[in-house]
Amino acid sequence: MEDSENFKIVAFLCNWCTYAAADLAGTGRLIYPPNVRTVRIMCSGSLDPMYVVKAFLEGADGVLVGGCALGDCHYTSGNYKARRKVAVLREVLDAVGIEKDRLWLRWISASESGLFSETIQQMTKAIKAMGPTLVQGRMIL
Amino acid sequence: MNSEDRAQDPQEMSTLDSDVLVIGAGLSGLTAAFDLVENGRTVLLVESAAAHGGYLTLLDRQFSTDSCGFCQILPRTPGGAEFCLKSMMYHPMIDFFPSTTVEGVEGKVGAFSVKLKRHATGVDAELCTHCGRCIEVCPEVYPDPLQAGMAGRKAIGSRAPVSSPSNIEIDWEHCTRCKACVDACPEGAIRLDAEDVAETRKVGAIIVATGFRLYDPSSKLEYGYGRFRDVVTTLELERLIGKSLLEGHEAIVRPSDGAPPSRIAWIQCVGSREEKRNYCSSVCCMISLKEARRCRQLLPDAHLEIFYMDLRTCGKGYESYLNEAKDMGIRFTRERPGEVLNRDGELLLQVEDQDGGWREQPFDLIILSIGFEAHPETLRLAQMLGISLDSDGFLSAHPGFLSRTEKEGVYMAGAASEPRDIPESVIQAHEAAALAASIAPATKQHGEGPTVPLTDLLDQDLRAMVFLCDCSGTLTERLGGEILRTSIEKEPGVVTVGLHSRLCHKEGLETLAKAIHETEANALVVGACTPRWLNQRLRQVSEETGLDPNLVQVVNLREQGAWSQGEASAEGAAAAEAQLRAALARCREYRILPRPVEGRDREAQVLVVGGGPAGMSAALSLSELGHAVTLVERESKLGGNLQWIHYGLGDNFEPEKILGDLLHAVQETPGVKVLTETTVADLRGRPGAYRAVLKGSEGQETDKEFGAVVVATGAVVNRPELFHYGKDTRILTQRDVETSLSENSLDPKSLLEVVMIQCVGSRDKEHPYCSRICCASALKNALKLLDGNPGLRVVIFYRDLRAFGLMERDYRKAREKGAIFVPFEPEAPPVVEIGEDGPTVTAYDPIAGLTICFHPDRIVLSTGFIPDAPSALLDRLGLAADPEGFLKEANPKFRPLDLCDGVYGCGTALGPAFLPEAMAQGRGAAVRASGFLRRMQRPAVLHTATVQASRCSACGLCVEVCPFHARELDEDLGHAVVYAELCQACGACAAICPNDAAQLVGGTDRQILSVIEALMEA
Amino acid sequence: MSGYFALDEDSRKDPAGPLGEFCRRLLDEGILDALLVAQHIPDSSMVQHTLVQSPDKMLAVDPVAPVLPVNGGVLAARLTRQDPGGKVGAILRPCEIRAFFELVKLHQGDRERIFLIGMDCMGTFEPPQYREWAKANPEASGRFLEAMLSSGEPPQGAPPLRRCCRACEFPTGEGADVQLLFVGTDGGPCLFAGTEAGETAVKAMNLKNVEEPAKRAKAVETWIKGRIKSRDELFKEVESEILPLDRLLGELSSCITCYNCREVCPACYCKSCVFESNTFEHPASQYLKWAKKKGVVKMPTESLFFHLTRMLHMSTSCVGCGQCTSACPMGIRVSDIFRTVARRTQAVFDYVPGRSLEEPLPMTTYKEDELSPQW
Repeated sequence: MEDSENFKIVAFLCNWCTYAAADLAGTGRLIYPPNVRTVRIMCSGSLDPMYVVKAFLEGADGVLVGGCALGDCHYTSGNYKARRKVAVLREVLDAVGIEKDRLWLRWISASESGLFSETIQQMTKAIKAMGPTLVQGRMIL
Repeated sequence: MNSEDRAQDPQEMSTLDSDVLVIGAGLSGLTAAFDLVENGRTVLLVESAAAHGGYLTLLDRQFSTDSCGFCQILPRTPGGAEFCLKSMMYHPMIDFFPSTTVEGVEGKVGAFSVKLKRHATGVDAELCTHCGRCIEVCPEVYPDPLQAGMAGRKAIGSRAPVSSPSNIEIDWEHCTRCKACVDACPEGAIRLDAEDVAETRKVGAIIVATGFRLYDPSSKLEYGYGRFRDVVTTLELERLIGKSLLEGHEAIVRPSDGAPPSRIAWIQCVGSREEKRNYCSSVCCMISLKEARRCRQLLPDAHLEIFYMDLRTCGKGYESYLNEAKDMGIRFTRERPGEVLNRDGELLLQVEDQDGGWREQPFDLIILSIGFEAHPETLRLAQMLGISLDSDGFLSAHPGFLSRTEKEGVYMAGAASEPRDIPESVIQAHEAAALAASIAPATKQHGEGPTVPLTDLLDQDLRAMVFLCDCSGTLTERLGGEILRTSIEKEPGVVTVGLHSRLCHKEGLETLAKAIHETEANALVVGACTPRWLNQRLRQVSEETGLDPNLVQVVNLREQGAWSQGEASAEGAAAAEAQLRAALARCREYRILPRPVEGRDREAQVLVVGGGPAGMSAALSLSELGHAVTLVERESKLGGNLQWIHYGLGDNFEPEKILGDLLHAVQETPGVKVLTETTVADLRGRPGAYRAVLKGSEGQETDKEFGAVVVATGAVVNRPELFHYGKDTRILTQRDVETSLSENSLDPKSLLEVVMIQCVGSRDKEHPYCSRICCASALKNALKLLDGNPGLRVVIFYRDLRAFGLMERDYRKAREKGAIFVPFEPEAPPVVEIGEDGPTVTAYDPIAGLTICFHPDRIVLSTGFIPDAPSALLDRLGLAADPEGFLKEANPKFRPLDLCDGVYGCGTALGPAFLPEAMAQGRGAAVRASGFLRRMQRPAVLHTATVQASRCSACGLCVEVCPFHARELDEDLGHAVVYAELCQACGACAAICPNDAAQLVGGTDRQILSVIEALMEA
Repeated sequence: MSGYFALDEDSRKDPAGPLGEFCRRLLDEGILDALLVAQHIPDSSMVQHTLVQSPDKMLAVDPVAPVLPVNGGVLAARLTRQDPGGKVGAILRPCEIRAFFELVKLHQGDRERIFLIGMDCMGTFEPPQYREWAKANPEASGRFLEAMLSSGEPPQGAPPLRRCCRACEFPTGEGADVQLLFVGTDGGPCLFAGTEAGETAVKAMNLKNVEEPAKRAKAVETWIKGRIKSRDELFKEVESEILPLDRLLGELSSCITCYNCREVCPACYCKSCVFESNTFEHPASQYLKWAKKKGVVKMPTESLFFHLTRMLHMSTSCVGCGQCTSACPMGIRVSDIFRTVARRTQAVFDYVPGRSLEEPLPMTTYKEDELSPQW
């Protein structure tokens, strides 16, 4: 990441809530930095932890997982399961030197467009301050 | 209802435009509509406002779950409707007409002809792309009443703050016809000269779900609403918080100066429980509780105080919600404050102090807990439909029903009949749907469109067509449409890249379909607006062109691209390009996976456990909906607790007749097989395929298969050994009194004084819930006793007199007839002693301020229900009871009758309920079960989860995490199996399966990993 | 009844000797139909698990031999996944029992279908080193046990214990029906019946009930303390010497993705690994894409991805048996790395793999009120 503006965040957004919040943010013309690449997933519970690892190995500087508020999962408990997965991910990533604070887990409901854009802004700021991950630019995948 | 009574001319039925008309697209209307489509009925849904959702679109979180949950009412079919229901509304079997009113109704049940008026919104919905340019240029700004006046709103805009993409309409009252919007609209969608359009539609049945209106407290001059900015309503407080969420920081601030308040008061019953509005609005106590709890979270140190008359938290789980609030340090003060004063900018609330005088208590924010009023639409419709309203404008229900009106074929749901909260409205809507569905036989099978063959990319190369929608310049302006086009063209597998000005128009979609044919593309990637909205339009294209739906991908370049960027930037364009490449990768890596098993010849029989009023109602409704039913009852007689009810509040309520009618109908219905003295010894299986062992009185066992189960096992009447119950014949329960009075073994004239004590064995440590019906029992017995002996002294000791809804009238009547109501605190209940000359009651009267003693002829204890859930059965089904011991619902707010797919609950087994409620729950459970069984018979969607048998180690992780019982380990096959029709495609299984034996069709790891890679390409 | 039982008199002289007789009686007296037990393989000094049906084929039983070529938890799972058609028993080391318990939770085996005999585990050598040493030292196991019990170290001239064994804080046969006890038992081994089935069995063999060995509790405590100390040193070393990503990449750069580590891992129960599925079957052009993106890419690719994913999949179930390290042809300290990471992931849920069959696997369950609300 030679260019400090050219960092990337991969966001896995649940279809029901956080993706809808991102839509609403757009409708409300809430502006946030264009460093986010999104993957719409049906439920935060469908996040295979492998995806997060892949994102970091491919050069992501941060990963955001967005789901429905706890207790509000359309599929009952997907977000609780996601939280456990992210908990493990944070430890594994952190242990090998990808700081755990690069992986964010946020519950943003469909009406919280402001929270979505705010989250992206905060995250971009935090990730930018952290600089590139150690894994970037290495020849080992 | 007898089927012969209906206008069942098959010819007439076949000419219906829709099976059922639902008037009102709020919670109740939507719930009923979704139940109907799940049962194969088509629906015409009209809504007078420009958007669906009613008040729920304005609320972020509901009590008592403190979450949203609106999407839980959507049909449980993946592929039908997969979006946040607050933000949009669509269903292929529902004709949804917003901004439409009903102007006339003719005909009768089975063949109504309905005149509709589609009001000019000024915006042609077919042309509008929601781009918002009109809103930008509109010069007319005024405070948005829905945002507590804190946010501006324009004369053109959307009604619901969180709807997206939003229905844009013109507010004609504020529009100056300046035409700025007309000039700005690139689509020519705005028509200032648009006129209302009349239309006539034929329907078989009608559901009135017109909802309510909130009371306008401006006329309550003493509270200063409208004069003091920091006096707001409960809804306005919701929007104050909601607005902060839209802005990105959850906060509560005072409207006057934007400062966070440190002292907040709620005043209950504003516009309720008055001479003129002689009813309780039922939900305001819980709304204030919810808000106070939320305020506590956001303002940990604030002084929060609720001024109330009675805390009517008598719904399921509400009592513990109240107790938690008390533990959170929210203060509850039983009194009605006098006046709000403003002294030097400080709000002062006049409250009574301990010695009866008034003192002024300062607050920073005062919330008026405003009640419900009948909606004016209800009045208009009632006249049109020829159904009557009560003095307050509410529709009245046929005895034994919540939703049946006096007119055949016309039903009601929601607050149009009485103030109701969410679960009550949902239950009533379920019942209304059950009744309406019984009138109109299913005409169509939803979801059975032309089946598109899947495309195997191992057999053929990817030929992807990329279609970019410019959205009238948005794309080009912000993301550089042409440059995007050129770079995507070079991607492997892309046959052509089209750039169209507006894809969503009819003409755009036609161009798209044509181009697909011409290029012989086998995949489509669309770069346009949000897929949540566009997917519904593309479904048609996919069906017409035979594209595998798994190879149709929408990239959101508008809401999450162009619109979230301030100005055009290289990064923004790069992001758009990456997202498009990712969608292509997703197509490229798509592989056909083995289809999961589908068991379409499923058992459609239903087992109803429990032959009380709820169980019998469920059985009858199920039979009407076309299902054979086995009704088992452990006792020798059907009827359950209804056998002990002899009268109610109100003269036209005849429990004995209701019981007689039910017994007769059950006996006469050939599709209902009744087994008395029978228990369910065992119950196993999965949704749609249960196996029950039924055990008769002699111990004989029969094995039987069922598709669904309705649990109606009732509750037990509590007989706690409190207040010397059982030790003196003069100490009775309400039920004892009812029995004696109906048998004439107790003559009210022989009595001088009766004392009743409420909440005996309820709302205590052992039974921490409110039994809901005991206040009404006390009222009905008090009135009956007073009828028999107007001179009788009836004293009722109560904690909160929970005569919610229209029962408030009976409460008033009882007071007028001389009944004396004395409140007590749980710490200091009345004391009953048995003396030499009979029992005495000693208590402290807080109003009189002294200790009083009675020597009544009878002491009547209001004892509630205790749960009797069949825990062994639930256990085998993987279900549990709630913390209080009643059946636990899948979602306490929006799915109050579902225990899980395939198992439904009703009656007092779910929680304390009145007879009409229990019966409505029975019918509602029936419509839920029936909808589920129909779903089981439809072909499953294409993107369910599946199993690659050769890879599966049968570890069972996927089975553990599946929330829908859609997976099992097949011991014989040695691997996991998916039942496609039960799968909701949530992906929990695929996420936990370590080696991709469990996969989501169309969303495999291979696809997602390549998506991530494409997103991260430089 | 104390739960402790004496082994037969004549077998008390040689600490390792009595076990053969005990095993033989299990089959001879019909308590079991078959027993999974480590024996010397004819014509070799190597010891391997054998499944013995006939009592007279119990000629070279040696469960205490300090070597673990295969984690027998996997074998126990294989024997119990379906009805084995007879009463099966197994003498397993603690890490094998714990692995078996994890596999039972993963429906790969059935605890009800096996009689488990656990033991105090003194640790093991790397298999090739064991083979050489045992070849040169007849009665190696007895000497090893004696030396370990008296000094805590292997006998003079013997190879060192594997690092994972030195760091193993679960050296006793918890969870077994019967445990063979060596530590703190004065004058030869004794038995402890840990379950009802275990007690029934030893009673049927007419073994004498004895008092709890007086020094046992204290001795075990000291023993485990030493292991924990060694473990924490290991963690510290790995955390500073290997885990920082630049170092880890160095360590893993020798990985040839032979997948031996996964092959021998008892917690890697998948029929076939996702990394060998079509999810990771790339077209030729993919490799050039990667090479283009970074300018250079190590081949074979995706070794780091593999190891990180394996950590995510199995680290909560990692029992630290060390098989992965022993199996790595490139000498990568796989086990040390995994244990150090697993300690963190297990701590998140306060989960100890193999501790109890009642504890659900962390990823299949959740609590509403746990962890941080969000991160």
